[in-house]
Amino acid sequence: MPLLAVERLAVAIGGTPVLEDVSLALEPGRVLGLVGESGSGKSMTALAVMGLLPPGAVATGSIRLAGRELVGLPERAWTGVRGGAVGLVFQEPMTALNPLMTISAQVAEAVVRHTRHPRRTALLDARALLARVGLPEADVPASRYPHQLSGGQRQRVVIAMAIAARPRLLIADEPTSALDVLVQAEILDLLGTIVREDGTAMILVSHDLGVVAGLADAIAVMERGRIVETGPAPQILTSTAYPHTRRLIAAARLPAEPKIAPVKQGVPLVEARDLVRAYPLRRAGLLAPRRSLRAVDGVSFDVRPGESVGLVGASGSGKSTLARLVLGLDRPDAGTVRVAGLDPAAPHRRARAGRLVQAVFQDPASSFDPRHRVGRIVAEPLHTLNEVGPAERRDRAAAALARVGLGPEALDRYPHEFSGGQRQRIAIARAIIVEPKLVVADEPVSALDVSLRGQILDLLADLGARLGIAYLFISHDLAVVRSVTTRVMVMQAGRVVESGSTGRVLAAPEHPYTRLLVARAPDIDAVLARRRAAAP
Amino acid sequence: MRRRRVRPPLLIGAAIAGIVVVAALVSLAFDPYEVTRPVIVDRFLRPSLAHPLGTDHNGRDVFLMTLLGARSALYVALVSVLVGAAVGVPAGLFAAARGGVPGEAAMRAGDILFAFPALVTAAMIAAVFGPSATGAALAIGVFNVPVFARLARAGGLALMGRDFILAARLAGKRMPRVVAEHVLPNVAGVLVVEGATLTGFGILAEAGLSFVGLGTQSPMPSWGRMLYETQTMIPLAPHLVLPGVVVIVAVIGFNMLGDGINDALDPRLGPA
Repeated sequence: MPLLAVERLAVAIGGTPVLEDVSLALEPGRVLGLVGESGSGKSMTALAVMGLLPPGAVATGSIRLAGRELVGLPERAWTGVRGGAVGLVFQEPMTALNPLMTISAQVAEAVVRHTRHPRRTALLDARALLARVGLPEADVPASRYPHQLSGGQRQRVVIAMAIAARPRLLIADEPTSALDVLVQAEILDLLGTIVREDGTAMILVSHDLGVVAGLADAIAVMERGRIVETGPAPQILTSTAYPHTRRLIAAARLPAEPKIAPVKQGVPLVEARDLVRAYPLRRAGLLAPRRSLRAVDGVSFDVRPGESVGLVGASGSGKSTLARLVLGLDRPDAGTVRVAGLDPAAPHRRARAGRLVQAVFQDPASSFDPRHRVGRIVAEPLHTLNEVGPAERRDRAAAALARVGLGPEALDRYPHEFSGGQRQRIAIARAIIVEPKLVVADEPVSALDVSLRGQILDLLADLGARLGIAYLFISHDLAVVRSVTTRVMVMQAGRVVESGSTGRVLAAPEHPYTRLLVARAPDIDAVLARRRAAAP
Repeated sequence: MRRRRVRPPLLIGAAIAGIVVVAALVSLAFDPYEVTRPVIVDRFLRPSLAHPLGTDHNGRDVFLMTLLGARSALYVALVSVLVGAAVGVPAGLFAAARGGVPGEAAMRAGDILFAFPALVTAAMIAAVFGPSATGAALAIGVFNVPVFARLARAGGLALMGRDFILAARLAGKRMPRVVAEHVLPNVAGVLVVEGATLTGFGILAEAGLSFVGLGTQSPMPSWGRMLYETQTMIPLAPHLVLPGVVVIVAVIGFNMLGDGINDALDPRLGPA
């Protein structure tokens, strides 16, 4: 008998079906990858198994966990299942943790709630659990609070809480989407170790087949509330005939060939020389010396007109700070940055610089004023051109939207009416409306489904070629940079540790850090090669 | 799309606030007895058709006095809220946008203001300039400044890091314009809520100050002074307790209005 058997599960919210005819089976010690695009129903399936369906949702069918029927279970009974027999790992660890409790207290609470251990020994259990998930007391004191940890460390705490009651089933919903490539690989390794050592079964939900490929024994592909394909992972990954699955695989496998021609000639458009930006840290004590964090530490580089340069590094490596310096949103403590000979941060030059440099940000949700309509949002950079009247603004906004593949009807709608991919198109339209010389793209695709990444990257590459835009393209993911840049710089702890042509850096990384980044990128082909090598 | 149901607190609060405003407006036009003039022979009349809520110890019509009292109460409350918002909101937004030492200085100045209770401030203003309704309004307004400043700063800080603020700066807009276009409209909701609640507080404070003689001056009626003048006569003429009831209802009403707007604006609460 399988540990988890979902049969003909259907969920409707307000009469609208969101899941239909979902059937799954999972044996102890096995990992099921549940993949699909946003809105395909994969998270809803996970929520149904956890009894966390949104209010108003009606579930029918059967979910049996170790023979116990979960559909129709009263809420009181669920509390014993969640965190007890089923452990949960969510996408955003910061919201899953209580900011006012130390990490050991939170883990201890999970121990007390779901086991019969007394509170006195629970703290010892918590320490052991934290050590097990890679947070030994020596490195990360258990008296820390969540905000004192990095994103990856927080996710480890969440995992420690999830396994506190030795659950028989772990549900991990996009556990690494908020993390950068290196940390993602570490967290996936940790989850794999737990499954192997404890014989726990796991449902791993992700939009990224590359994430699922390394861990899953079986894969179920979802589309529009249904499971459209299911089978052993290697078979699905290598020989699926189903078109939707093939699309997902193609999306996870970004094109290796750059679509942008290298640029050699020309006066540099951006000249950065020995840039330093340091942030003061809080004093350790009243008399302790004031120390500072050098977020950018002596960085020099050029970007030539029309050139596309990648800037790669883990979170906290200083790439976004560097971007803000180039955009003139922050001033360097030392060194200079010039864009077309102008200081982008000089107040009286801002107006001109604004026509030269624009940006596309990571989070499509926070990129727009929620109270403004798209037409006004896209036309905002025209603000410095006094001669442009309202009618012409509208025309130019419509033209910019057309360039990114959106119709003029978008002008009068609000940003929240659009999907993530469409919003990123709107952000691109806003950036190109003044036909800037340089666009700084800060993680423009990392908040998007893999299936949308390729489209947005293609769009950026195409616009760059047609409008002669140079890009400073920031990403934690080398694979993303590969398809849209010709040159790449790798940042670590505020310094550029390696730079060169994108092809060379990816194929033959010289710096150990770059080698690590290349090796740990979630790449389906690499994963398959590793699996084949490991297979008996 | 589900239609949002209007919640009862919002309706009740809006109705009460509406009645207070209408009462104040009516008092401007409707005064058949020249109500502030004493007619001693008519004193302590029980409610009748001529005097629907009776008369007080000077023979003045209690109903009309109460209408006029609404005018005093609203005048002081609204001026105090406007003073608080006019100074506090720009200061708070400046602190949020500028940060650093100037921003801190603005907020600490607010803390110092906060340290003086409104009643003490009013007593000081009255001692220097003589008691008046406007003095009371300013005193309460001073107390409102840091409240608005903190709210505006908190809301502003939450927005300053958002990418659309960066985009506006990239478009070449200067900070005051960015704040006016992108920050203020996005914090306006909470400010309106606070304004409604503080109007209720202002009504209460006006009644209190007038009760001790530091607010609205004779012959203009005020709920607080009506209560003060008649407090010993309430056993004699129970209908004279009306201004007290009116103050309580008005304060609760404006608080409910504030809460109601807050709930209506907060998408997280949604329809129950």
